[in-house]
Amino acid sequence: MTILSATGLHLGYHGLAVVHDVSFDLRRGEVVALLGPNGAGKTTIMKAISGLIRPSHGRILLDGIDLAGLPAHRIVSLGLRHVPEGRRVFGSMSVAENLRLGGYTMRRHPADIRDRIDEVYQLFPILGQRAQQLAGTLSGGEQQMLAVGRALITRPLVLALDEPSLGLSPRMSQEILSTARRLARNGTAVLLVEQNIREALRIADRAHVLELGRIVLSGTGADLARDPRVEATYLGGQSAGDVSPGPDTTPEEPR
Amino acid sequence: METLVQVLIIGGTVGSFYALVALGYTMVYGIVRLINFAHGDLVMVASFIGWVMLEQAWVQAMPTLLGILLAAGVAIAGTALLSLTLLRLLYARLIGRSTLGFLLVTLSVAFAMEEIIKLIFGARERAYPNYSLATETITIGAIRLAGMDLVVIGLAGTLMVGMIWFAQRTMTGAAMRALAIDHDAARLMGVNVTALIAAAFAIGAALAAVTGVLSGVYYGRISFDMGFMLGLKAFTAAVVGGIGNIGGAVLGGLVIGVLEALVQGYLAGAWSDAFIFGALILVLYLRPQGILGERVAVRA
Repeated sequence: MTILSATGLHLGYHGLAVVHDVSFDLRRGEVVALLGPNGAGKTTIMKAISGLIRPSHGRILLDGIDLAGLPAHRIVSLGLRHVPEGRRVFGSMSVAENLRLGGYTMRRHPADIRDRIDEVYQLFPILGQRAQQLAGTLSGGEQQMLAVGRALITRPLVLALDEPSLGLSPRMSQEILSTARRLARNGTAVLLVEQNIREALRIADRAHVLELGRIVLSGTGADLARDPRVEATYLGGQSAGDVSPGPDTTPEEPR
Repeated sequence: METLVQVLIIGGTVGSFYALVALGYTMVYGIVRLINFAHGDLVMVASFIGWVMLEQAWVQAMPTLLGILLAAGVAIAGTALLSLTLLRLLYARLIGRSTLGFLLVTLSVAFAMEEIIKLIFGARERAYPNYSLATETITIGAIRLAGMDLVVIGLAGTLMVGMIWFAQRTMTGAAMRALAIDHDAARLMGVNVTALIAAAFAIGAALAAVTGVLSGVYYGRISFDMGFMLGLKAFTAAVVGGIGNIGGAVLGGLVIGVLEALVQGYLAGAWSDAFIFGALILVLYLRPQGILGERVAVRA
């Protein structure tokens, strides 16, 4: 069942177009990855989905509801949580307070927030141990757990993770991505933006490769992991220069 | 020793006024990183609303305390409404678009409010009714305390503790602190920025209104030009304490008030402003973020 769909998205900042005619969808229980080099427009797409920026064209439906023109805080209430790039935890607040703020839209039900915070502590026991510590003193991996945990307080339908493994040790990256996979299995749809393409394709059901604001390749995680074009361009293949563009690919310099 | 205690009490009273006004500057700044220069004159408008109420025969027929509470209530509601109207009509479209525009418009509104009050009530001072409490004193040993000082410190202290509780313990307070740290991250928590800006303006205006009526009762006199300097000193208090920080505004207000009382008590009254703004310069030289302010990283 489709929980999130984006159709014909055109996005930009101050009239400068960054994303052109991007469409994709996300089903319940699925991990869909958006991959591609820096500047491909992945983060911009995430911001549009969570309402931080408005699309200049296109439609985003969350569980059948058109998100056009809705402010970010309404979209949180509707069940989409965006964990932004760089984690953006509130560094001068405690871990517990960060989690409590994650339940801001449930503020009329403080007892429920407390229960959900306990659930997050079960998922990430280290956060429970550090509950009273300032979030800014956590390691990068712990901050990422906090950022994800904060979003899970409202049990979102869609979890949009932007570069969750950025700056983390390989072991920690794997742990975070495995958690994302597990969350999807339990019913949360996960939209994942990742630089760590090998790991992303390992856990993704489907993936789209973006270049210069357009989707240039789509497929299942397993297919894309075997695709010679992906192999050559992103997974450190030898003959990047010989890559022939796919049918829907605009010829470009590989980077 | 006796004089020192009395000076500190007076400093605490004046400082309480500064602190209550400083809270308004700091809450708005925390969210939108802008200074509302019309804030100090809300104190003046509130004191005139309170005065008009207290002049009514039917209010004067009421028991004194009830009359003052009613006047304060009307002043709080009126000032909050005025502040929200100004926000909606004039400020909102400038927030996030023009820092200088916001600064100039709030400054213009400050002068406009002064001129309008001057047009209506004239340039001369107006007197609040005389209350017996205002001249009541309590003697403990050799120390004589004015009853009004204790009332102001008690009431303002309760409000200040309440505001710190609000910031630290309520979800709305936490959301305001989160907005001060990272706007977009707070929005992604589901925080409605527009609503919280309005809340900050309304709460700030209410505290300014309490200050206006309380200072009318305390000093006995009000005038159209009482707000600007008070506002400037309260703004100084907010910056000294660490602007954006609610506890900092309280601390800064008390520090400035006590400093002013010490200079007036032991040196000369004419020098107190020099010391206050000198303290501002010194604190900012040593600690640019203010006493309780955090070194905020440049936001992306």
